[in-house]
Amino acid sequence: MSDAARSATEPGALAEWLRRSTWVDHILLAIRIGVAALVLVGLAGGLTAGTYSAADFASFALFGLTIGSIYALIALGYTMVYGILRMINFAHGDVMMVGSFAGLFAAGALNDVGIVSAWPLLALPLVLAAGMAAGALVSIAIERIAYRPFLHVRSLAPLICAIGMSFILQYAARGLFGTRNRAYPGFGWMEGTIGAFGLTIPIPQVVAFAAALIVLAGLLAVVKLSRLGKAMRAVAEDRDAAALVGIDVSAVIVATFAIGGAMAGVAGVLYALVFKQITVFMGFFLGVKGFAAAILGGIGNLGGALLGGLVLGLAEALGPALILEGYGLPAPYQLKDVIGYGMLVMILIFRPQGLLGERLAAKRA
Amino acid sequence: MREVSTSPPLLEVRGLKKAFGGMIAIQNVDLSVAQGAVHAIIGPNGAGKTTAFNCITAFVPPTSGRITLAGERIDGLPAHVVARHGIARTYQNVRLFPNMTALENVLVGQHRRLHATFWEAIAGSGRFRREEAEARVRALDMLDFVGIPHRAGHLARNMPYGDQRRLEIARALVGGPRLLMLDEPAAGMNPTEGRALVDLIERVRDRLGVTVVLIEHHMRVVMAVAQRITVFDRGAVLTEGSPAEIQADERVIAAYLGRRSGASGPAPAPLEPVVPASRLEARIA
Amino acid sequence: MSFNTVTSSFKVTRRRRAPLAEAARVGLIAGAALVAFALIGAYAAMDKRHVVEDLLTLSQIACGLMVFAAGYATARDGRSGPAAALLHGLVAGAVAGACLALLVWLTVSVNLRATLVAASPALARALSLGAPVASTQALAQLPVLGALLAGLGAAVGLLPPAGRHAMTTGLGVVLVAGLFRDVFASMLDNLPDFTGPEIELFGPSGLNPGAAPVLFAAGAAFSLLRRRLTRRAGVPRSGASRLGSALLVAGVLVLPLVTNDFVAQVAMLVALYMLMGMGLNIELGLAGLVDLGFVAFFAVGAYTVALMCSSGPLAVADVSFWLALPVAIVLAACAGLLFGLPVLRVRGDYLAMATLGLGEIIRVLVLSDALGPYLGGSQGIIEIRHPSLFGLELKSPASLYYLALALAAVVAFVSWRLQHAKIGRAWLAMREDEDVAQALGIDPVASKLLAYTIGAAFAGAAGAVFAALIGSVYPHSFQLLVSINVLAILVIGGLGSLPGVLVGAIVLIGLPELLREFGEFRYLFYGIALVAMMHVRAEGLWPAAHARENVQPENAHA
Repeated sequence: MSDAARSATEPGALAEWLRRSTWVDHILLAIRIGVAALVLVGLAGGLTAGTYSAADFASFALFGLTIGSIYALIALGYTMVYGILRMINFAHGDVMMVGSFAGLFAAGALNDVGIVSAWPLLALPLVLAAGMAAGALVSIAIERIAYRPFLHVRSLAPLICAIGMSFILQYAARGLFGTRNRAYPGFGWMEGTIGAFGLTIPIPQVVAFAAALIVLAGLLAVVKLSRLGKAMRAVAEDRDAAALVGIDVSAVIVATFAIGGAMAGVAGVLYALVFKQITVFMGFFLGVKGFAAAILGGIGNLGGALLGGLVLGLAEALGPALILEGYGLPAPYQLKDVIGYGMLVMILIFRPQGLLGERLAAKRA
Repeated sequence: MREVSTSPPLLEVRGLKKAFGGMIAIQNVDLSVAQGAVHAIIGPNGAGKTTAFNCITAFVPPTSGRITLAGERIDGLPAHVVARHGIARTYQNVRLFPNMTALENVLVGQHRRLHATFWEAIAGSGRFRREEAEARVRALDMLDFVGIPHRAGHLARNMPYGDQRRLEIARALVGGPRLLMLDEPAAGMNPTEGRALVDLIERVRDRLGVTVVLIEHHMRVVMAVAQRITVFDRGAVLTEGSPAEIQADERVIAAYLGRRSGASGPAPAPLEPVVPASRLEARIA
Repeated sequence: MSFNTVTSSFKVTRRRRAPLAEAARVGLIAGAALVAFALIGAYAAMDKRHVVEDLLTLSQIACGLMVFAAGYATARDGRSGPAAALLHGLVAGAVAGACLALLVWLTVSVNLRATLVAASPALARALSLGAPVASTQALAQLPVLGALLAGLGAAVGLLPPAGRHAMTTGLGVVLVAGLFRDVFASMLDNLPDFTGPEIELFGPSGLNPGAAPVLFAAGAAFSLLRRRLTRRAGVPRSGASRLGSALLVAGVLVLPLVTNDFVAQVAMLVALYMLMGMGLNIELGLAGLVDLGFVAFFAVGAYTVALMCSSGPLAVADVSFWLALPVAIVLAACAGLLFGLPVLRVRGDYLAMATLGLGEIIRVLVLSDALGPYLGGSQGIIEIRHPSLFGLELKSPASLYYLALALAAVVAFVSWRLQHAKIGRAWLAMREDEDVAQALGIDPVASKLLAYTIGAAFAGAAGAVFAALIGSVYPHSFQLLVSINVLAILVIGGLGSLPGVLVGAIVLIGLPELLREFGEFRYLFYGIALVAMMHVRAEGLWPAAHARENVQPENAHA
C-alpha cells in the first residue's frame, strides 16, 4: 500500500493492515466476504441450474439496459445537484412522476387536436418536451422552497424540506389526478416489436434506450462545452470563489435544478412508454433507484451516472435469474427490488466512492 | 529558559509526505519534538505547516512517512485512536461545538477519561455518578486554568473570540494529553492577549507537564515560549534550531521576504510585522 | 455534520412591493391555496362534516380561515394607516374569492375531469353555497364573501394585542370544540351528574348554532381575564410553562378513562408513535442520524412477538408477551447492529437514502413468497395473544394505551439518562462537528452504531407492542410511511426534545385520527407541516431545553 509496507525492514502488508485497522474494518471485511460468498454461490447455482436459455438472458439484459438508461436519467439530477450543493434532492423521484403525468396530459391534448394521427413521429418529441418542461418547473419550485432559503447554513433543514416536498407532490398529485393507474398512449407506431439477433424487442424499449442516450449526450455536451456548464463546474468547485469572479451563483443553481428536473421529466415519459401505465406514487421508489445508480457510478460524476444506471438496470434484470435462482427461491422476481436496494447498500460496503467517483467525504474544509 | 531534556523524543516524524491529487503539499518532513518542550513551527503561508499538523493528528491520512509518539507508531491510524494515544489539538479557525455550553464542550473533551458503561449510565450507578461529578469538577478547574471560569454556562457560539480560543485549549487539555498541538493560537490577538497566551502555554508545560507544538506567526510569542523552532518553506523543512539560531538564520529571513537571495538586514526586524493568517490558507489547509 | 455552521456568505433577500400590490399578491396566494384545496378534493371531502350544526362545514371553515389569514397578514404589514389597511384587506379577500369563482366557472364550462378528478359538478355545487349552480349570484357572492372575511381578518389584525388575542382565542375555542366534538361529547357523557348542558352544546356532528357564540364569548373573556391576571400577578414564564407541562401530563394520564373507546384507541396509537418517536429521537435528535429505515426494526419486533405469542399455524412458540418482548428488543437491536455497520460510515443525506433502502429490503423480503412459509407473506400472522398482567388480560384500548405509555416513559427515562452521560455528549458533539469530535477520541462509528442500535431496540419494542395491540401483523403495516410519520413527529415537536415527541405525536397522529375527514389528506398536511416548520420555526413546537443558554455562573459552579 505505502512505501513503508514495501520496505524490507518493515513487516509485511498483512501486519501493516492489522496495525492500521480497527474493529470496524475487521467486521466490514467479514461482511464483505459474507456478501461476496452469497453472490458467488448464488451465481454458481444459477448458472448450473439451467432454468433460462442464453436468449432469455439476452432479453433480460436488453430490458435491463432500457430500464438502466432511465435510471441513468434520474441519476443525473441527483448527481448534478449533489455536485453543486453537496446535498441530495430527496424529492427528485417525484419530479419524474410529475413529468410523466405532464407527458400523459400532453399526449391526450395532442390526440384531441389530431396531431398524433397526422404526424405520429412528431408526437413523441412534443410529449417529451412537455415532460421536460413540467419536470424543470417543479424542480425549480423545489429549489426555491426547500434549498434556496437554507443555502447559507448547513443543517438538516433542506433534507427535511425536501422530504416534505416529496410528500406534497405525491399527495397533491393523488388529490388532483386520482389514485387509479393511468394507461399511457403508444402513438400507434410504437406498439410493435423488432427482431434482431434472433430476439424480439418491443419498440418502446428501443425508443426509450435511444432517447435516453441522445438526451444524455446532449446534456454532456452542454456541461462540457457551454458557458453555463463551465459556470456549473466553477460553482461545484467553490461557491464563494465563483461568486467572487462574477458568476451568478443562484442562477447557476436554478439552472442545475432545472436541467436535472428536465432529465427526470424525460425519464418519466420514457418509463411510462415502456411500462404503459403510471401512478402518482411511482416516482418515490424510482427516485431511490436513481439515487442508487448515482452513487454506484460515483456521485457528482455525470459519466458515472450513466454507467451506474446501466449497471443497476442490468443487475436488477439479471440478478434474480442469475443469483437468486441459484438458491432455489420461489418467485425470485418478487425480489428484484431487493437486488436494487441491496446494490445501494453494497456500494456503501464495498466502494463508497462509486465506480468512477470522487470520495464521499472529500471537500469538507 | 528551561533546559530541554535529552530523553528520547516524544513525537518523531520521518519522511512525511502528503499529496492532494497531483499537488504535493509536504514532503520529506522530519520533525522531532522533545518531551516537555515547547516546539514552534513557523514558515510563510502555504508552507505546509497545517498540513503537517493534520497528518500527525490523522485529520488527513499521510501519503507516506512514519510518525511515532513515545515510540509507538501512530501513522495510518484513525483520528480517534491517535487521540487516545495522547495527542490533542486546536484549530486554525476555532472549531468548538457552537450549540453546546463551555462546560459541555470541556466535558466532551473528557470522553476518553470516563469509563462508566452504557448500562451504568442508564442505571445511574454509584461509579457513574461519582465519575460525572469528578468530570464536572475537572471541567470547571480546567476552565479556571485557562482563565474563563465565568463562561461555564455560556453557549460556545456566544463567547468572545479570545475566550473561544481559550475554551478550545481547555477542551484539548482536559482529556489529559501528552502532546498538545496548537494551530495559530495567537491569531487575531493583541499584544496583551499574546502575553497572556505565552503565560498560559508555559503553565501548560510546567504545571501540567504537557509537551506543546504550536504553529504561530506572531514572532514575539514564538520567541518567548519556544525552546526549538522548525521552519517550514514550500512544503519541506527549511531548518531547525533554537530561537537564537533561527533569528540569525539568513535563509529564514529570505523565505519570509519572498526569497530574494542574499537579502540582509537586522535579523529579527523583518519577522516582527507578521503576515496575518489569511483566509486563503484556511482554504488550502 | 454541524447544524448551524455558515458555509457560504451567499444569501437571499426579499423585495418589498407597494402595499396595494402586496395585498393583491397575498390575495392571489390565498386564492391559489383555495383553488388547490378544492382541486385536490379536500373541499368536497370536508364539506360533509359540520363544525357548527347545519351552518358551517369543515371545508367552509378551512377556506374562511385562509381568507381571514390573508386579510390579517395584509393588515399586519404595518406600513399604512388603519383605513388603508382595511381596504387592502378587502382587496386581498376579493382577489382570493375571485380565484375561487373563476374555478367554479371553469369547472362548469370546461370539462376538466379527465385531468383533474376533483373538478366535478359536485364541487361546483358545493362552492355555489346554496345559490343556483354557477349562476351569476353564485359567482358574485364568492368575492364579496372573501372581501368580508378578509376585511374581518384585517380588522382583527388592527386591534390592540389584547383584543387580537381575545378574538383568536375565541375563534380557537369554537374550532377546537367543533372539530373534536367526539372527545368532548364523550367526556361530558362520562360525567353523569352533569347531564344538562351537553344537549345544548353538541349536535350529532358538531356544535349547535346557539352554543358557538357562547363558546366564542367565553374564550374571548377568558383570554382577556387571563391577560389582566398575569399582568397584575407577574407570573413568571417558567412557572406558566411548568403548569402547562403538568396539565399536559395529567391530561395524558386520564384521557382514555374519561372518554369513549374510539378516543382511547386513538390515544393508544399516539402512545405507540410516542414510543417510536422516543427511539428515533436518540438517533436523529441526539446523534443527528437521519434514519428512514426505522420501520424495519419495528417490523422485526412485531414479527418476533407474532411468531412467539400466536396460536396460529405459523407460530414458533406460544409464550407470554412478557417473555417475547425482551426477545423482540434484542433481535431488533441485533438487526440494527448488523445493518448499521455498513451504512453508518456515510453521512447525512446519504444515510437517509441508505436506511430507506434497508427498510424497503425488509418489507419486500417479508412480502415475498420466499419467506412466505415462515412469515405468512401478504396474509401476515394472526391470532396474536394479548398480553396479560397479574392474570388480567390487557385487552381494552385503554389498558393497552397504558402499556404503550409505560414503555414510552421507560424509553424517555433511558434517553434522558443517556443524554446526560458521556455517550449523549458524544452524540451531540458528533452532530455539531464530527471531525473535531473524532479528534477528541470519540470513535464515530462506534457511537453512531450505539445510537442506531438503541434506536432499533426501541423500535423493536414499539413493534412488539403494536403486534400485541392489533393482534395481527401484515407486511402492509410496515411501509416507509411509518418511518416518515415518526420523523415528522420529531421535526414538528422539536428535535432532541422529549416533551416535543409527545406534542408531535398528538398533533400528527392524534388530530388526524380524530378528524376522520382529514385522514385522506394527512400526508399532504405532513408535507406542508414539515416544509412550513423548517421555514417558520425550525426548532419545533417544543424545542429541546438544550438550545437555551444557562448563564448562571454561581449555579454552574455549585
